[in-house]
Amino acid sequence: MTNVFKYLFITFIFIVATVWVVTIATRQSANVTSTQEVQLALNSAQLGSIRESATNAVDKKALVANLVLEVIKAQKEQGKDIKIDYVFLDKNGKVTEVENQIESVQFKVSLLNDEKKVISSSTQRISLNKN
Amino acid sequence: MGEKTGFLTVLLLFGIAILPLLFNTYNSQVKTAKLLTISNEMQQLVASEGGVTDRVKNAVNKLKDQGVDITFKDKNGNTVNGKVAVGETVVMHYDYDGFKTSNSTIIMKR
Repeated sequence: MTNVFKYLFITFIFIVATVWVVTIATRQSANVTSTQEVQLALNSAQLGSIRESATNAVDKKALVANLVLEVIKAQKEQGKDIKIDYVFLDKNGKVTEVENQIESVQFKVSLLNDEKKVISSSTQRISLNKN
Repeated sequence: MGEKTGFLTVLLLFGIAILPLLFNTYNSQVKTAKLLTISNEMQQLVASEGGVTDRVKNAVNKLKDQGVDITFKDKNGNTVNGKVAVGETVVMHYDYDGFKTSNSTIIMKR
């Protein structure tokens, strides 16, 4: 009889491992897709604000506001806390804070669990069209 | 019960109850990933085409054969057909075997 339990135990571990991996994989692919989706939305929002301001400089505050808005709108893992890290990059890919040197923005979306630990993160770099 | 009978019992149990469950889990994972990728690429296609053009329709028909239902609507919920004016939003709904997702894009192409 103990043999039954031995094999059942092995089976149980197998099931838990599989379900665990699938859960992580689904969450990660949802996060990656959500992060990629921001690209188009941010580009159009940015193009609109550049046209409005009539200068070539990027308005950092507006950009960040749009970025956060689009990330939240696109995020498919609803009900989870998220953390957004971002940096502005110039044309050589170096971090910059000067508004008229900003060529692209790189951001990282992290999903947090209840204990505020990162459970999934996805990074995306978006170049901002100035034409 | 001997070693062999115990093993066979669990093997049978595994085959009848657990294997289908695991297969089902794996299957839904693959479908979710596929649906998410499709939604992302369809969004890019619609944005670059500037609306629901023939090329978009071709892609939608191809996906329909695979079981993915895609509907295009504007902000007010009316169905979108053909090219869309600049600045209009196209909202896309996707349905694949009960898995649903949606996204939207603002048309920037004249």
